[in-house]
Amino acid sequence: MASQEVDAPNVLEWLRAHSDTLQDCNPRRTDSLDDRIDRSLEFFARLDAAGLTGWGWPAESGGRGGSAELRAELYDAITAAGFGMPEQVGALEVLGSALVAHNPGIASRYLPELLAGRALWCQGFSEPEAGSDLASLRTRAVRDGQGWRITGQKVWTSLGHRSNWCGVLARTGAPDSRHRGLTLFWVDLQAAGVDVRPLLTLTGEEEFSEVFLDGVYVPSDHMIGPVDGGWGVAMDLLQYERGMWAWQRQAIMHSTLSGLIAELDESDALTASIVAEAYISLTALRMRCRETVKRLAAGERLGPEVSIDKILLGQTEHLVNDAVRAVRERGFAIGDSAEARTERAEWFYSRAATVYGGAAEVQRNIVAERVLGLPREAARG
Amino acid sequence: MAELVDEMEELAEAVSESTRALVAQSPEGVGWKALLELGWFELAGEDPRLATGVLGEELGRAALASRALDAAVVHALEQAGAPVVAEQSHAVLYPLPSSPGAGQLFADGSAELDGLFLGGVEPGDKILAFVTDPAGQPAVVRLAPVEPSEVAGLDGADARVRAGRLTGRSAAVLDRLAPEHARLALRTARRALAYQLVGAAEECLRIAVTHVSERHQFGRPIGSYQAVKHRLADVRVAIAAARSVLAGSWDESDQTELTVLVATSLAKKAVQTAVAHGLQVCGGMGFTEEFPLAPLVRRAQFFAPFLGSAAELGMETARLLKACGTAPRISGFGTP
Repeated sequence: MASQEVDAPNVLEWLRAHSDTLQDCNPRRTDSLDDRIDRSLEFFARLDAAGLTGWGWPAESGGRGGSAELRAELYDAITAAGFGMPEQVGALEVLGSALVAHNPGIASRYLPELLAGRALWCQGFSEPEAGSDLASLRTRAVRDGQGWRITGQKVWTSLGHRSNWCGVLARTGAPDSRHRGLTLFWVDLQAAGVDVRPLLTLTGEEEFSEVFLDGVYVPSDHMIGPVDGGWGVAMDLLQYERGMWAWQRQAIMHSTLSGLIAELDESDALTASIVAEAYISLTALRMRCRETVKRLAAGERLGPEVSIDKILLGQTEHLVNDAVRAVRERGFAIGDSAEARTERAEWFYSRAATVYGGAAEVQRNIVAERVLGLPREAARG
Repeated sequence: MAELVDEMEELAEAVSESTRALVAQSPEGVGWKALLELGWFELAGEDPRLATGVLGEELGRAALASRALDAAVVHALEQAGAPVVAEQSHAVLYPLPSSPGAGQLFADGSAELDGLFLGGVEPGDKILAFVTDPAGQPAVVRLAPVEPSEVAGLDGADARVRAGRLTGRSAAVLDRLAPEHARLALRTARRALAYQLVGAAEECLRIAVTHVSERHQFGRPIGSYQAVKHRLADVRVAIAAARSVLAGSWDESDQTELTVLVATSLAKKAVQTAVAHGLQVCGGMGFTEEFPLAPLVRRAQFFAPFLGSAAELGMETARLLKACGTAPRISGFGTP
């Protein structure tokens, strides 16, 4: 349907045809995080120069138009053509849709520079005391003339130390206003009062950061959505986090699993069954996310059932990375090669999939209470 | 576009209603004649996904005996140009659990049979059988009619499935279907089975949700405990996984065999998860014969190894992946 509306190019064909010349900017999984980011920026710059980014983003917001399905197609094509997933994609998918829907002016200013490989974004939602219970966050924004001053601390901000812009969810209402008193701001991380400190994670990389905000000034046109309307925007954005984010993860995992098949000895029933189980779960994730992406692209508002996608994602991340460990057992345990290090790092990263974006337990509560209609716990507010 | 969607939804609702009515009126099971009268074959010609899905799910919910798998197989074969006619009642002989075929075909054209019919055999039924050929390859053959007296009733695990076992040497192999038709028959039977398993899992879940919402212990409904909630949430996730891949298995694709295999695995997992968690959260009530869970649990047990156990389907998946040399991306957007 998408390709009927606009004449989008065949990215997969182009990537395959230019595979050799693009290898110097392939964000390979074995590269260090900083190298991956550098290459990701260059990769997007080359795609942009060839007119291949921006499809599936509205033209009035700095994209090239067409259905959001074109974005899903791009992420599949990148990994199917043998490239690593560019590091921008995660935050782009999570924040981009919120910008487009709630502040097209900001979107048209900043989306093109990300799509051209000149910027990186990050998400400032979680805090030390507000993880799955996001509505309890404490970072405050107070009015200052025409703008706002934000003070507080964010954590688990992926790629924070390399990002230019951060979507910061802050409290604009009373301290006890919970989800009713939150606003989403578009914050320049080069602004005075911002201090970003990378954190070493179990993957062995500084994948995420702490972001300290001390009276950081944000002009009022940098609000994403209305004052005290941040929760609605965040919920909007979480549909994308659970739908399109999961889609780009399944694209990556198909490449990971494909890499194992050549080494798989099907007469080893134990290992073969572990790989098969991973593939079965991965196919379920792909088909589920495809339905979700189609619904998002059609402008449907998704309900609590997207938590099913998130649960399938977490389960599949575990199974696929356990399959890698099962097939390459010795290298995984004692290998020193870049490949073995990467596999261990990715295995650790897969454990985060049942934690980030609302822990697996919280997702199960949502499915139980809001999809199945089971009674709520009395004690919970 | 919106009108088309509305029309499709109306059709689906009408088909569901008439199928539910048929299932409700047929405590002894749904035979070939009932499917003909329902117009199932015409509907399958127009919309095989709707026809297979609705019939399978309703039968699964009711844990009823039926000829639905046979009908799906014969319909698909007829559409593909195999020498069968759906107007004519057919019975299909399926492999026993842990067996690759419902019999061995010998080089002289004879066969030694040992397989299962589902939903009872009627006099005059044309017979199809999943067998193993002399080279050890799966094949589907047409057999001469079987007298119902030759078929032994099986009441062991699940009497309501009305299974019968045909054993013995038979020389009456009429002909052998083309290999692509044999593969089509197997994946069609598996897919029809998968819909029944999804229906059974949905019904288990419905019963369990009702029970834990009404049953109070320690002064609150037991469904308000997270330990109970999370089990039933996992059932919902397992069913959703099976449904999505089943839906995707109807896409035009050169990977249909693999997709159906994956969907069947997921449907088996969904019903096993539903049965395990359903029995646990329904507690002592669920352990009584009068509680509505029992027939569904028996049906799940009966079908667990049917057309491949979870372990066998997993190994088959691994072999197909190895043959592909990659982990195929089933059905994407736009260009494949």
